[in-house]
Amino acid sequence: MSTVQRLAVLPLLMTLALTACQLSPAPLTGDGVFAVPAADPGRHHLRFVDGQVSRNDTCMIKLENGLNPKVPPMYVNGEPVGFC
Amino acid sequence: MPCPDVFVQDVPAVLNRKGLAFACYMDPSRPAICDSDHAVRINYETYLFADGAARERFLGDIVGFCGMLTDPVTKRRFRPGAGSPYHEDAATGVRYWFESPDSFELFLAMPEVYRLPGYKMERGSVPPRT
Repeated sequence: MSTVQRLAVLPLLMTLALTACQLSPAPLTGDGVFAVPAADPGRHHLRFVDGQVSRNDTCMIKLENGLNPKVPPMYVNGEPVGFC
Repeated sequence: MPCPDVFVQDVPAVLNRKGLAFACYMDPSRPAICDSDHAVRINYETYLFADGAARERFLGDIVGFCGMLTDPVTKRRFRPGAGSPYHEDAATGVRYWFESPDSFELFLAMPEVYRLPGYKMERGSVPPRT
């Protein structure tokens, strides 16, 4: 394939890649989320990738569980709450 | 059912059980009343208000006031604009805004898949308490 041909298909490839990105849910990797140091290591808040810190330090539903950085937060009044 | 799914279906009850309080979204100098009459759910986000007037003011210009939302299809956070597609889900009464026409169409095709966050966790991924 010549350079000209490669350049010709580039916009198509970029469009396909963008479409794939738009339709794929974000993976639950927890990348960029970390626990804020706490006196009780089982009760730490999380700082999420948007820079906000969770309002809660244990799960909203299973109250005894610590927060899981792989579960994305839900937002109440713009503030994140975390889950296990 | 994943915890976020349980949460978004009755946020005031869960917050009260947990004992978390919030300030009014429209007037942070006043405490929000945490019940269904003073709450609005948009997408997966919930907004709490001090009184009916604050709630009505918010509902009068949701896009202007809501800030970032989570697209129910891509699960990405985005800021809706005046031209963003939206849909009021007849089954739940929840209004959803979408970051793109593609998301909008996918939601309409399979609302039962996207109404709730539906985050799936691997078994044993919950960090143990010490």
